[in-house]
Amino acid sequence: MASSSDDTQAHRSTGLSSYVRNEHLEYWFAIPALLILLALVIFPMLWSLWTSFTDLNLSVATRNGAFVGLANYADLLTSERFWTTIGNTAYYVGFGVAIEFTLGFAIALFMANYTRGRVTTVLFTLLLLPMMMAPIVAGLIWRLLFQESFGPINYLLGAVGVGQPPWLSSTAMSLNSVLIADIWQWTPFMILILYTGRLSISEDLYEAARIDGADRWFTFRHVTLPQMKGVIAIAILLRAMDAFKFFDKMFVMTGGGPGTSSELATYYNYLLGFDSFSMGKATAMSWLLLLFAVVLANVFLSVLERGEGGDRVV
Amino acid sequence: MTDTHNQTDGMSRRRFIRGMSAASAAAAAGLSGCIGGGGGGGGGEMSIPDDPDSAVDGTSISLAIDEGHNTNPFQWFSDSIQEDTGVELGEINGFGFNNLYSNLMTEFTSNSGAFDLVSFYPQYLGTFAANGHLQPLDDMMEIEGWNPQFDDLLKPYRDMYTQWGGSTYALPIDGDVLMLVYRRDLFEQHDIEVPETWAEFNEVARYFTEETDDIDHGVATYGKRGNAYGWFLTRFGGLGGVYFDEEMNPQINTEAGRRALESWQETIQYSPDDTASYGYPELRDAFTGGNVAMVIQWTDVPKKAAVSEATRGNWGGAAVPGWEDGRAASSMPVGRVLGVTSGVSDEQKLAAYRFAQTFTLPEYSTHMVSDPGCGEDPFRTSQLSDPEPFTQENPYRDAPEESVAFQDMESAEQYTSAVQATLEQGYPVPYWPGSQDYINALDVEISRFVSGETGVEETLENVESEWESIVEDLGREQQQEYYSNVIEAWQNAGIWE
Repeated sequence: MASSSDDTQAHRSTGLSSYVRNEHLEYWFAIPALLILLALVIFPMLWSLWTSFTDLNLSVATRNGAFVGLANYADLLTSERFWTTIGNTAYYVGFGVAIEFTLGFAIALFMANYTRGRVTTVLFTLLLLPMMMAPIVAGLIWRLLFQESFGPINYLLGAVGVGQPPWLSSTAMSLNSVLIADIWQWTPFMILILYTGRLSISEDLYEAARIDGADRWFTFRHVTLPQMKGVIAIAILLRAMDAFKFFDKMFVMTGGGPGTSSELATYYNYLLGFDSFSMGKATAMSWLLLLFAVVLANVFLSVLERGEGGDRVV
Repeated sequence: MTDTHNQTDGMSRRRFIRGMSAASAAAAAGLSGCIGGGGGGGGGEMSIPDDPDSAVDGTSISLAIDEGHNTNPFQWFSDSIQEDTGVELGEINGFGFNNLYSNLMTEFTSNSGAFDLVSFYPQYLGTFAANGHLQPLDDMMEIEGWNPQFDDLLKPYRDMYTQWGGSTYALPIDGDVLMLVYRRDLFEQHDIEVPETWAEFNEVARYFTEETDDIDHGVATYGKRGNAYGWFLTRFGGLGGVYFDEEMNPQINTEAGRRALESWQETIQYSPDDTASYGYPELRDAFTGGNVAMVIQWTDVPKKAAVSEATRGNWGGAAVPGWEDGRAASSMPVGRVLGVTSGVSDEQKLAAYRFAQTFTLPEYSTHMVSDPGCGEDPFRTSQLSDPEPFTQENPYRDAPEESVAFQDMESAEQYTSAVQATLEQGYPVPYWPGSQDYINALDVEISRFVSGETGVEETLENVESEWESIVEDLGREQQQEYYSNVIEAWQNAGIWE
């Protein structure tokens, strides 16, 4: 004989509310978040993809958003200014991150091997100060330092008879000047991550290497580097992503000039969107930059994964 | 002139598309690291109440303006204007000198209603008005006691930089135009005449740079991106240069363009090495700091020079030089006008207009244009015909003794007559919808030229090619119509042949 509790159980297992409560409850919980994601991220992204195929320009009433196919992409890919800014960005990210990594790694290893206690604390405090500064403030400080007529750097260089480089007014130097400011500010980021990565390596490995008679270079190549590969990949990736997307220091120091000599791709993208208000071209450029960034990040990660033994590093 | 602005109250398809596109551009831009936001347009009819004075009494308005010394007069006068009109200036939102357009357009297209009153450079007037972002002011100007005294305005500002599509959209507050500012003491000491042609200008620059040790350089020039194009137009306009022909073909790569750049190239030789990085403050300080013998600068610089230790009593002002076989032309980049935004309530529009109208009246604005503590310059006939206020204190300042520009009438008269002469040879900058693109393209290439990256021919070819591409992008026929209508306005203002 079936009890009343069995009836209830049977009812629960067949009703809609029961289905919602018991069978796929986790999906129902996810629905609000999913809807918000769709409304605020996915839909605008799809709309921006559509806009990139139109002629929409918010400053001219006649450019209403008519479909123009791949014209915006073609215009950009054949534009000298687009490739100039891509080249500037590649230079800025490539050299900047490479130098920051090299300096940061050297300083991190030095600190890990040769400093202890309060000395480490004081060094860390000093090294982290630039990183704590708002990039726009750092840019303003460096703009004043690089001021050619009365800036302190040129004053000192002039005093020792080295000459007074045109830091910000020369097309050959302006991007490098921004790069110097960037290196000054973000090398501590590399130090911080790589230092903690180095400390996480077991001292037993170094002990074993010493017993086997390995010299410092051998130990570095076969103990330190392989053990830190994952940390290095993360540090470089994070820093490269930041350097790729931020243009605040460039904006403050040179405004992209002289001409377009220090103009970064994201700044040009910003100008297309929020100075020319040419939304078709701006969205097209955003998608091109996204594509470049995704491809480069994947190439970087796959190269790292092909390291010793094919171990995944991240 | 065709007024294409679309004044609809509902959410039109275009407005929705604009809003979504601006937002999605920001979203996509965010993916690649770009920043920002944006959205739809606005506009609407407004009704004037029976008693407008009571309607605005106690209303608080917000203002958007380029940050810096030009915000000062709003702080000086706001309490007194509130007493006169009952309108309170609640909030002053400052933006970067070169980012004003981006910020205002972003607010306008998103229809945020964040600002009731906006101060902007007249070159944006066509874009703002034609897209329905500004409220036509004609009806409010008819209200008894609310007249902005347009009869007293200098002609270019009355007939050109305030009008679009046959309506008045703005009230002027700053009559910027480029003029020559020079070291009178050095010129007298070396028995040098004020240059009247660009050839003489370059010769004077060479002399002070190469033949004397009295000063570092003979001249400095604007080179930074943002407004460098104005320094080109000043020479180009004097040679009869025009922007486009009737078919909207660029006329930049012409004899006028070539000669203008060649002359400027010679000037750059006698300028400081870092002149390519000079914007307004650097160029101003090069002169007021006593480092250069002369500059072409905006009309507020003589007032700054008059109170600077290095140049006090030693400066002179004159109209910019011209050409032996042409004329003189003073480019009119920047300047400022006040507009009332269309995306706010009628009460806010009325209050914003009332504040702006009172602000521009001679009772207030004359104390502003004669005060070295701000960048606003004369825009009324009465401000040039009577130089005396330039020697007097601004009673609205907390420290009135700091507000006297010139210590004697002779200096004040020299200043006002130089500004008058300069305005008579004014050369207008484009201000039709989309013209910002032409200006930006010109400005980037001029900046490259000043830095030495490109030569004369390459610069002109690049600008010509960019402009051709922009005309096609924006629509040749529409641009042609805008341009021909704007030329008509320039001719009416007496600054275009």
